[in-house]
Amino acid sequence: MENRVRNARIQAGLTQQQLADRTGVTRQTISLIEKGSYNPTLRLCLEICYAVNQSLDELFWTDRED
Amino acid sequence: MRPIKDERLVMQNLKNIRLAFGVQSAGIAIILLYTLVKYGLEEMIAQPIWIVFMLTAMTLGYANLRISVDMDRSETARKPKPYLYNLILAAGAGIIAGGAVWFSQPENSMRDALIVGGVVFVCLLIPYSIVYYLQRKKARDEQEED
Repeated sequence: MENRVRNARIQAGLTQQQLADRTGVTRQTISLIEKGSYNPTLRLCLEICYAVNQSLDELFWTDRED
Repeated sequence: MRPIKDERLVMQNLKNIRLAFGVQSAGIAIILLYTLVKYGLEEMIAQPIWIVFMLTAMTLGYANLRISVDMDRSETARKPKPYLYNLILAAGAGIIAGGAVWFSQPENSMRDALIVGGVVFVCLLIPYSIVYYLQRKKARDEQEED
């Protein structure tokens, strides 16, 4: 699933490892989320939002593809 | 080994367990089938591995009751019948099974009939009761939602 986690993480000045530590997952999981290869649960999405100080909308919202 | 907290790895771990369960079940089934073909039904049932196989099947069946109830969209699921209905159904099946044992062979004693009838009654009443409880809970949740 496409998302803007990578940009938000860089804006927040965090490395993948730091974001992983703050959200309680492994660095590989953050990497896969950024690539769109893993769909996180809502709980993890929120943890990521809290860590980078952005809303769910800003990070994960995408318009429906027709 | 540290406990896994990463949700992706927890899911991966569950998938791995499912794979191992599949391999183990296939292995048990092959051993049982081999015993059945080579030594017959009685020998197969006498093996401890048969009990393991049946216990696993029962555990899976009971665990899947919740899924069955959630998937059920019939009128009974929306408004479960009174518990007495389940009780009568289980008792009826127990009486029929006990009666079948009692009347099938002259050497069967009343004790045998009672044991078989009792086992059938309990074995039906437990899943019926669980399904009834789950249906009631689901119906209550749906009422609260409305």
